[in-house]
Amino acid sequence: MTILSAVTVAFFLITIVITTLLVNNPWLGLQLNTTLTSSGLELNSINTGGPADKAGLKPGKHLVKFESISGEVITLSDVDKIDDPSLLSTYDEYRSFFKRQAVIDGALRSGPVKLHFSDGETASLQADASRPIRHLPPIYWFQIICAYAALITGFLVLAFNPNTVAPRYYSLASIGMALLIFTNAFYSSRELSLDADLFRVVSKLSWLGDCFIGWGLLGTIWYYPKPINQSLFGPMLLGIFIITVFFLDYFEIPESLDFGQRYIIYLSVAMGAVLAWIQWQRSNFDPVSRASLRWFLICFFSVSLYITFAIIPAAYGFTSPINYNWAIGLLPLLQIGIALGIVRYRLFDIDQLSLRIWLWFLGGLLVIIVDSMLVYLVKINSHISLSFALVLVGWIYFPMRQWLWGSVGWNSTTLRLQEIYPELLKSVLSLSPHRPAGQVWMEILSKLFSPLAVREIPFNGDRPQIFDHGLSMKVAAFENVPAIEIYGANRGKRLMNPGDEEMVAALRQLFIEVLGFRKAYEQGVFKERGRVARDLHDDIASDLLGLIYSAPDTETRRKAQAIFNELRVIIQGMESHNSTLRENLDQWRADTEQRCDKAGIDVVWNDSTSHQISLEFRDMVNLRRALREAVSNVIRHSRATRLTIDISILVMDDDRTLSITLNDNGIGFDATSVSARGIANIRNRMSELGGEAEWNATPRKGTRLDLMLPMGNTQAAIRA
Amino acid sequence: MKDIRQSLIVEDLPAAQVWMHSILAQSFPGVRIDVADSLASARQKLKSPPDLVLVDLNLPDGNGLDIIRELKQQRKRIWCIVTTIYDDDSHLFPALIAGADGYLLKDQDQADLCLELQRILKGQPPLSPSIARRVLGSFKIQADPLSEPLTTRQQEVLKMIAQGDSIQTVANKLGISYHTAASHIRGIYQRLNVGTRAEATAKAIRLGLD
Repeated sequence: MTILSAVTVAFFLITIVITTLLVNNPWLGLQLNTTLTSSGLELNSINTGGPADKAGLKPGKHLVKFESISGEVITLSDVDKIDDPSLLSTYDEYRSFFKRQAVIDGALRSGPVKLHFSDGETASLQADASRPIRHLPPIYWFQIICAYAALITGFLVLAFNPNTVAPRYYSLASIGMALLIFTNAFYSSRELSLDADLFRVVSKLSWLGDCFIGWGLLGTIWYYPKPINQSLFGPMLLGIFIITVFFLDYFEIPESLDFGQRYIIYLSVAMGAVLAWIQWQRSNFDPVSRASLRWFLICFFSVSLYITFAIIPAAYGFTSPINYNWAIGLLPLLQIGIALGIVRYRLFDIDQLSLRIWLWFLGGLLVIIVDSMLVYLVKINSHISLSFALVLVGWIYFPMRQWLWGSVGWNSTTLRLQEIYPELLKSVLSLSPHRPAGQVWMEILSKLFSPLAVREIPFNGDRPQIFDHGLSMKVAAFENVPAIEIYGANRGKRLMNPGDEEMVAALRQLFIEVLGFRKAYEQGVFKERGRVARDLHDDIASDLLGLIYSAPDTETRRKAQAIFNELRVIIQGMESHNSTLRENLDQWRADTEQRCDKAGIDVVWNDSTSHQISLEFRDMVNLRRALREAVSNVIRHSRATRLTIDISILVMDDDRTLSITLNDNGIGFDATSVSARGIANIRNRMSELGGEAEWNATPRKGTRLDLMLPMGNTQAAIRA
Repeated sequence: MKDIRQSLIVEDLPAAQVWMHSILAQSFPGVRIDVADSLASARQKLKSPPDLVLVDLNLPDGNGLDIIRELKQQRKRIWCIVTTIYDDDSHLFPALIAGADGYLLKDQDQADLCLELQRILKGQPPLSPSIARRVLGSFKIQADPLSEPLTTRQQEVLKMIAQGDSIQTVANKLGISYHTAASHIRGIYQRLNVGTRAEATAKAIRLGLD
């Protein structure tokens, strides 16, 4: 804070000094304007209470020359009222300008002067020793304020970032800018002349300001966002360059001001552009730096604006659409942009904002260009041409802009959501043990953001939150879904913004609702099953039991018992939650061994499955039936004495298949003899599961049956 | 082994009553057989306690478990055997916790049932894979220093049965006799068994049955 107070105090002191110097110049009380003709300067207005007013002069006249008390005649021209002497072409002109200033100044100080107007009239005026402050033009104060803005922004950045190099260069640039603006305010607000020596010093100071700006900005872009090079070679070279350039102008070495000043400015701008491009390339996978750079670029073209509208027209003799002095106001734009970049203000909005600024700029530019073309080329009256221009631009530009906006799709995340919404709904509704909620959630977020990484991390916030200026977003856990972090949107090219936070929050809520719905649904299904099981038990079981007890012979009893066993298995299955494959395999083994034991068949049961695999209730039922039917076939038809059952999980690429192989040493079969119904049943059950059944029989040697059930991809199953 | 002179069948289905009656008559010639068709009537009849009770879990006025619990808490030397349609853990586990000495599947042949009954009385009660798994699971959860854990042997037996091995296979694998293997199951039953009401409630709560 002390820096800022010091700066403010310094600013006020300087303002007082300059203003004092400015007002203590001979004052005639008139406002002179350039005329673009050779007939002197136009009397634009008369300041009330000034010498001209008292002499009864009226505006509108053209002041052609004036005569000093000693008889010296000075012919006035536009050059004398030039805002900034460095806008002249050559140093010769520059020097003669100051000579003239000295003469004019001397004449005004030495006594009354005689004014000669273009219509032949004359007037005699005695200049006041100083100008009342209230008669300083508004533009003077405007520039003073701009100078303050420039100064304070530069030092604000330094106040918040005292330890890095870039802000120091930046402060240098802002000092330069303030210097430039102060000096320009000083001499552009003169009535006609200033003390020549003072004027010249101030003009040199103005170039010093330019040099500081160049030095400061180039230094800043060298060091920000990251130093281009660790060695001091670059900055040293820069320093030498600037010092050389300053003295080149100071000693007025070149012939023209083009070489002395203007080309150097263009060169520096070009160098700045090159450095900026280098920094841009380097920030390819660093979205935070990239976003900071965008702020720079916004400012960069405000500099270009400044040069385009202010320096070039004035220097080459065109009428600039914008008054040179008002254009000074553009300079702080440069400042603000860079400052924002350095303090990383809301980097994540930069994409949208920068596009909008560019489009706005292009729109305005287009209007101006078309207007100018119509005025200069087609020679239409300027009022009409402007309307024309607006209409043309309106019919061409705005539709183009709309189309551009739509196709570039700047709200990229929203558009992406629209694309993937149908998929999103489908995945969310198709959750299963193979595709657990956590996996689906991560898939959806990956599709939405195309991030560099989506990973599980601990996080507890109640809303999704972005960190690191938008590099990453953390989302809290819910239901069976872990807390995750999304890192590096758009493959590391984009920073996430509050809009993204809101979208993820909404998605998360949606997911929670859907999971809740599914849970309720599953509970409903479970309850319903329970009801059915109870009905089965209450109604059927007891009747069936009665049938067993009252069976007339063993054969009938056996049949009834078999049916009862089926019923038991179904009821027990219905009343339990999704069981693991392991539990069921063990039960099926016991059953199979018991049945084969009774039929005199040896069973070898090889089970190599070890994972905890879950299957839907329906799938378990189908698998059990298929297996049971297959074993029944062996018992009834094969006349085998040995049955080997191998159960394993086959892994191919990312997919797993459960394989159950039954090998018996029976009589084999040929396709026609065995009951088609049995085989069809097995086939149907397997296909309902999404699997297959395949027989391979060798007559008299045995039969081999392969039951295969795909289980989805490895990741899902293991996580389940 | 105590002589079975008096027995009670608690069963509401008449056909099942007859079936069980027949089994008891075959297993213990000359035994007195009484029948109750509800909890209330069973309690009445239990006033003169029998040596053996066959209890159906599904009674019109409640769960047969209650009888078993009451009997075991009174520490009466009565064989409590559950008769049931189910052999899975969710139905039978509570019965075992309550102290049942074994269970019989109602749908089996009389001959098989008599054999099972004899085995139970010899201290070789049955155990389905489903129940074995549940037992293993419940003892893992319990960390109560007061209750005794399963012995290593018992755990081994449980694991094999849970995988679907028959008792004979278990015996072969462990190199012990069939009888020894089967009697381990009795030991497991006893681990589940509780002597007092307080323990029963506590255990039930812990195992999430209440």
